[in-house]
Amino acid sequence: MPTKSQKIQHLYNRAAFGLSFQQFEQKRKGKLKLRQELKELLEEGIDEIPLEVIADNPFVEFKEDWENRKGSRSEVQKLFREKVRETRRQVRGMSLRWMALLTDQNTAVREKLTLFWHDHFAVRTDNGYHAQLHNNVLRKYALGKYRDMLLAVSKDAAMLGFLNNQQNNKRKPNENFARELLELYTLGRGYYTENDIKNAAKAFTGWKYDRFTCQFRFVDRQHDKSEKEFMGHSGDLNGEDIIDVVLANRQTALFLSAKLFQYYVSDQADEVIIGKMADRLFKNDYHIGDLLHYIFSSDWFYEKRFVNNKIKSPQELIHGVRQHFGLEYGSPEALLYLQNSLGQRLFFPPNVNGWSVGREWINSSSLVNRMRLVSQLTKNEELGIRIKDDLDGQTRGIRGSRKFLSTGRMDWPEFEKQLKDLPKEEMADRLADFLINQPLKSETKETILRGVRDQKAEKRIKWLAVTIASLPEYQLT
Amino acid sequence: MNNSRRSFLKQSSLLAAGSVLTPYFVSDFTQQFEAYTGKRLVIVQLSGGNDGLNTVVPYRNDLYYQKRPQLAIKSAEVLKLTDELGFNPVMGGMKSLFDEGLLSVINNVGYPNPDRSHFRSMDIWHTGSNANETWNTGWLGRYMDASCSGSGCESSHSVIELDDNLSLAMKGERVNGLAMSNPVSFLNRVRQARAKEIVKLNAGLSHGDDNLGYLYKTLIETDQSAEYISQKIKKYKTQTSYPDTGFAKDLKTIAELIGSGMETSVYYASMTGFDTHAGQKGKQERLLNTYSDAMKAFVDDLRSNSLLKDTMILTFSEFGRRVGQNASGGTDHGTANNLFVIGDSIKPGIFNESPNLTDLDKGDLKFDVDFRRIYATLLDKWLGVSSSITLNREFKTLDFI
Repeated sequence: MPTKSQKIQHLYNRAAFGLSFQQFEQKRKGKLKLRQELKELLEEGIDEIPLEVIADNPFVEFKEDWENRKGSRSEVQKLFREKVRETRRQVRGMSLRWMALLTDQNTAVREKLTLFWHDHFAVRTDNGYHAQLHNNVLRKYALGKYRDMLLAVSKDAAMLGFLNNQQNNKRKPNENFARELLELYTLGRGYYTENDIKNAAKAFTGWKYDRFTCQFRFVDRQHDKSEKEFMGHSGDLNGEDIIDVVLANRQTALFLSAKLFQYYVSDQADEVIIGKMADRLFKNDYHIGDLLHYIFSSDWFYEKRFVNNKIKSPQELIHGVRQHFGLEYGSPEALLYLQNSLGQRLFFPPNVNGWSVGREWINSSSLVNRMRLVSQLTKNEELGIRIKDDLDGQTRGIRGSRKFLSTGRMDWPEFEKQLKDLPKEEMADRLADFLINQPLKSETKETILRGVRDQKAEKRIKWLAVTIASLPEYQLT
Repeated sequence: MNNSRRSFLKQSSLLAAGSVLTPYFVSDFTQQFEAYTGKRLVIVQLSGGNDGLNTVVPYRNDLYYQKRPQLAIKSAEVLKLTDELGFNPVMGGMKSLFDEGLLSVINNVGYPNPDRSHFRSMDIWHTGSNANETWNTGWLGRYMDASCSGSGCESSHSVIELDDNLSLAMKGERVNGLAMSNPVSFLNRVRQARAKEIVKLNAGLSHGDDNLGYLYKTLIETDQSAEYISQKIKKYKTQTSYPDTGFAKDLKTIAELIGSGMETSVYYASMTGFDTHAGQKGKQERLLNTYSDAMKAFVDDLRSNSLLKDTMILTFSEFGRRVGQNASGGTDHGTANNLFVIGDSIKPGIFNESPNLTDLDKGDLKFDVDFRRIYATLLDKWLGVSSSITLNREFKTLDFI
């Protein structure tokens, strides 16, 4: 049975990206109750701060020229394309801004969930402004009702472009969005027919975005008004009807619960727990914030089998290290380099299925790179990882930013303040509690303690912390 | 089983002693599948979509010259292979491989419903899926998976990628390939990760089926691979001189790994930068020249050490480019493309018909050879493993081998 302190850390690790050493010490010394912790975390960590890297819509200025045919259209077209390219270059800034929000105490809970939705919808776009709008939609509805989220995403420029609903019209239906809506966003494979997809696609005909305002518009003359049949319903169904039909199917609640369980609890599905989550979600009108509260306040969430048994995603690893060590990078580009070299780049999910999960992150090469991360950062040494070319120009320049890593600063004074007077055994115990949320195995501890050479407390602390953060245990949360 | 293999088996089981790691090579599976048969495959990926029409030039085709008024290569300049096709003039190295009967050019390779997005199309090439499917294992990963029996799997270094991150092609359900830029940096990293100490620290502890157990098993396997590689590479340095380019360096590393007797079946290297939307001419020629010179040195090296007979080299790109040039002196994303197979057991020459520039699909070449038939041929006829298991479908093999 995990101790109370382990439970509290488990909560922070999963709901956000862990604790700083200072917070950990405060909680350890304080007499806080788990219930109270949960209340505070869920109240404090959910501020909504939208990304505003691109302050104003950069395309709307072209609308008038285009529609009134001022000047040549091909000239407007050219300027428009240049503008798209310009926004694409701003995605890096968005990535950095988002990473700052992910570890901010006031936003971390909402942001971790926003990252879940980013993986769930897995949209990739060449248009930086669309990317920002999309990301803000996810953030806005993250903790709300899934129907609102789904409807907003279905009307979102990035999504309409990514899954070709922009090309979905009465004459030539495009089924891409309809298929993924059923397969990846609601029911999951095996719970619909090809005929359902055809009819759902018809219902979404004419759902488009305006390329200048980037807002949703319903193009009536492209909408198929014929009789459609979809999962036992028929009539002149539109997209909203389709969404209501699939949400009324408990399978959608089950599918979403299974994904959230995987993200927050464990990659090994537990059908009984997932069933309970689905009941809750279904009963409460797909209220995600409520489900999150339910997960974190359930006894099963703190069971031993779930604590420290989830492989960190690269984003969890990067932000975990940042929290644990109070790490500040000399240059923010270091974070871009890290997310590229560890393989999880915000705004660029690898495909419609989103990123890897669990063990898929681990192979020989990634494991050694992950395990040596903290020690290289501490020594201010390069990671020297070659970044794969992503072929869209986004990695240009980042390849060189490995050097930025060597300017990072860790908050060692805080560790010294708390630990310097302790004997080395206790130092090791405390650091293990903090970094891996469990005691060291006795053989491991003995060997590690035998390795302590330095007499100076500050060096000891550093050596012990880095050694513990280099254990495979540190790859788990 | 040859001797060096046997001695490594012994070595690895010694290393694993004490842990409950299942030994990789257990008696019965060798009968169904042996990952290392002595045959090697080297794969070269040209990332970004190499323009095949300016690589293998249809220099007698008027349409080619009409559609590419600035970009077309003059027929007087091409290095003629047949009376229809010739290499880009910077590819002297490849031309000599062709003349020596070591090269097969396969035209019009692609897949149904081609996707013009780099990352989607590359995924399709890496996984071997259809265009409307997303798979999360690669074809070479599944090749490694096929080596698994109830009691264990082939070790990760049976497939090596020359890079720091492993590509999807080499990720399997149960086994993953090994990515390393070169042996020295890999060994350094394993050392920096303190793999050996940590493995030792936990020798004697049992590693369960939970995630921690999985991490330790992967670490032990990594440490064994590092050990194996460090034993092997001490013995061998190539005498051939290579051009001073990053890509040539990677090929040189592969030649040294092969020469040192590594029991690795597949090596994977990439060259990047082929996404030539603007100012293509100079850019592509520099790249093709780098590619061609490095390949020539590599093949010469293997040949002079009698290693070519067991090595086959495949070069591909995720798609070709449009037939017509664009307004910026470049070409945009296209579909079907040519690819190269090099070796001395291949049927040399131009394998099939030249691209048909009159019968296009919205300005793009139509494919007539599915790339998975090439994979199937390499798996069935070269690596000796059933392609239908690895590719999840039946594909007819081709007779370029």
